[in-house]
Amino acid sequence: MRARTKSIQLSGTVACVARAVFYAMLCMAGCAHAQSVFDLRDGDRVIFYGDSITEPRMYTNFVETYAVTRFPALRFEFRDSAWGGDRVTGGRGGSIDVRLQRDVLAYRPSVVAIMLGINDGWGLPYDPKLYNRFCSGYEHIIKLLTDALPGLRVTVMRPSPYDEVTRPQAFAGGGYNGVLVRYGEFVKRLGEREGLTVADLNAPLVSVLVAAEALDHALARRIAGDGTHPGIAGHLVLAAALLRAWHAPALVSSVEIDAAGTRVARTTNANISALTADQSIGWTETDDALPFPIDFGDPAIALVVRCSDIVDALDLQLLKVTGLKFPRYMLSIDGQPVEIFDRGQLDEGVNLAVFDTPMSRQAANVHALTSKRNEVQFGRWRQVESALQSDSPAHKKAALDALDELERDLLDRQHAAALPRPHHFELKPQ
Amino acid sequence: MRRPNTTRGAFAGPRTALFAIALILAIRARTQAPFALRDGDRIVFYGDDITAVQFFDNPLEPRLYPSFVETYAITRFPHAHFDFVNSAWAGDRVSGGAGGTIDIRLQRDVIAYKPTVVTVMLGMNDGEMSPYHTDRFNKFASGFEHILSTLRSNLPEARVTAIKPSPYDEVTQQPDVADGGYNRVLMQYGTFIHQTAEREGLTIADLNTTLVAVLEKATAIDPATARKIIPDRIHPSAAGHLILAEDLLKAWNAPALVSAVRIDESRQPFIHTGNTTVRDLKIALALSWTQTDNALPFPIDMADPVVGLVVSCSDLVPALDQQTLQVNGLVADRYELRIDNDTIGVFTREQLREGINLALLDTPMKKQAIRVFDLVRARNNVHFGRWKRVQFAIADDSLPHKQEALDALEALEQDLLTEVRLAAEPKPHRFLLVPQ
Repeated sequence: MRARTKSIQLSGTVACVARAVFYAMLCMAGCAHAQSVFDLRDGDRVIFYGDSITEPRMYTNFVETYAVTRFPALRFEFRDSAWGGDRVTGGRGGSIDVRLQRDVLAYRPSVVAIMLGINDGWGLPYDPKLYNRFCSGYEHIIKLLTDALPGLRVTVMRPSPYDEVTRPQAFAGGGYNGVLVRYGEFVKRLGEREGLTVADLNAPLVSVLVAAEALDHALARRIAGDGTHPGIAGHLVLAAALLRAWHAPALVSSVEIDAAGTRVARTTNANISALTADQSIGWTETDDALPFPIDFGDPAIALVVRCSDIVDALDLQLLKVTGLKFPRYMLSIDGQPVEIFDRGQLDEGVNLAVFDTPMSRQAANVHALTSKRNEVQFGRWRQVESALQSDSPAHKKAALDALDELERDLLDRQHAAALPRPHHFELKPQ
Repeated sequence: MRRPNTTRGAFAGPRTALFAIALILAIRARTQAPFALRDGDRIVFYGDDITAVQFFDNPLEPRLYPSFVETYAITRFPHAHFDFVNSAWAGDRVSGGAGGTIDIRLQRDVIAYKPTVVTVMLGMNDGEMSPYHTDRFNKFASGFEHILSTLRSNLPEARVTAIKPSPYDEVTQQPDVADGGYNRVLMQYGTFIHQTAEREGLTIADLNTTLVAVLEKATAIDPATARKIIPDRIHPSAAGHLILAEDLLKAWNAPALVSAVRIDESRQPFIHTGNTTVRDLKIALALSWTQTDNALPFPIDMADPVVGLVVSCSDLVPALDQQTLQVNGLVADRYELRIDNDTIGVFTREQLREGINLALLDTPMKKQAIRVFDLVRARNNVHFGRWKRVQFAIADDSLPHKQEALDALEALEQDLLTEVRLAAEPKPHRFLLVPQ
């Protein structure tokens, strides 16, 4: 067996599979059709703006990989323009007007997602002066962006939490996260007033931390990172929260095969050909999308998966096979064993997204390319463009241009890597 | 190797003089061993977080003690050519780290540059922030020896400086590691490094002891500010990095002298200079002259209160940053010093007789040194981008524009190196002492 879940406790795997079964039934009933449309559109240029939570290209990379792998026929361009330490007034990269002009408007985005607040509160108990500065600064950002780019779709994000779940409260009276929640209330009201999309990146991570803390304190702390900056598992929760606000569909693909009748009963987001059913059942399947590149082998990520509905909300790649004769089957894809399933499990439907498959490896490869592209882009921006803003060495322009070309190479490669590929599936009786 | 020029000048008239006589400072500079770096040296800094980043990995402010050392070398010896490369990787151990195994790291990030000088500081991560443990120590010891033998066999001519690792702060904060704290472990590693380096005839720099002493002195004066010297106990702030740079530079016999001028009308000749040229001296009610120092002061940001505290608790300034002006025989009580028409300060006759250290003041020379420091960091930043975000990040991908991007970044780095050298070139300044 080559389950991606091998390092999680078995109960975790079973829970995933069991939940997947439930969703399989729901989705087979047509929930994919009932979902609203994903907010990102073909050709969108998406910019993330923020502080040190957004700067490390973690939740943003997850979001980018999701979009690229779930909608491989569309083209998106993502850019992370966040700068560690920033506030609504700007920061080390310049005043807010310099920042927005150089790092946002210059790229003529169609979508901007903003998360600020953790530095604006200065880690102090609620102070009306700081709060008012945050509010007016935030309003200035929204006005500047929407005035400059009419038609721009702005998402405002309630700031991610300061961890007071696995760590003691910073101070009495609600702690620092209480202050951030209050800032988030303003962000929400502003977003609603201005007709923007509002995403909550605070409450979902807090509730994951609460659930995780009850199970494993040390791992829960890893999810929370250093308390201000979540670890990679925490960033997965942040990505899911933003994707949820963008109406990201859960479904990767859904296939229902009637083995007794040797027929494809139903497919969503997938194409089936060459179906054969004898003792073994075989078919060629081309999914229109890839599963989410969740590294279930990372124990902190596995705990997040247990403590949240990330898989159910974002990562359903369903296979249901009815009319099977034998009690147990080994599923292989492209000749590689994936998992042994009971007839009952297959009859109800299993979620392939949680297993190590050629599709999940393809998604991991896309995600690696997402990281690489963002590294090059970040290097161009931070090591050359902004670092040498007031200098004009002879080869600056050539270096910037070459890095643009290199980034374009990586964007093309990432897009190509996400394109659907046919895979041969086989269910062999055990 | 180049040494500060201590014998320049010629007599030019009764009231306009150009002299050059070695001062006491300059004599001391001559008797001490020469600066360890030589014209044409390629220096690679190798290590972990401490060498790679400042407190919190802010891309604009990393690689600090190596950048201070580089700036020192370039501004103190502006006619020598040095190439510095920072190949440290945060999180690294003697076995390597996120950038690859130690053999990959050394081959790609050290040996490939064909350095003539290599510095190695490791240990902070090898000790795992835990009490001393024999297995961990043995792993560190054999790993360190492996690094030295790899360098020796691949770069037989390279001069290696083995660095005793910088401290874990248990002075301003309570120890949080059992059995006597973590710095004790680092010092044990340091003792091993010392013994190994002595046996191999390497240069040894101790980046632990001085900073601990500074932390102790600083805590006695201002505990809150002292805590900001190594805010997270591991990664020093700019102030802490200045002390690390000082330790390494001292191990390299770095001269303290920037320049020295003494004007004394009661003696013959009445101008003494060290590492500088004085022209067009005019003595009337006011004194004026044109001074061209062969070096720049150290870019110490005295406006940073943490740096201010560290300076007052260390011998950084006497050891590395002496740009003195001494004037004897003045008649007025107080004089304003102007350089290039900017007011630098007002000094009493006694202060000027005793001598003032211009290196601590906001002078055009200091501004020039800060400009060099900024360019040094900009060049290092471009190098870092090329190395980490292109060469390493997409090492396994063959992409149509990869080589072009690598070449363009290398050319850009060369541009900046040229700018650094130009920016460090000595410039004449007009000095004016006006009675108040």
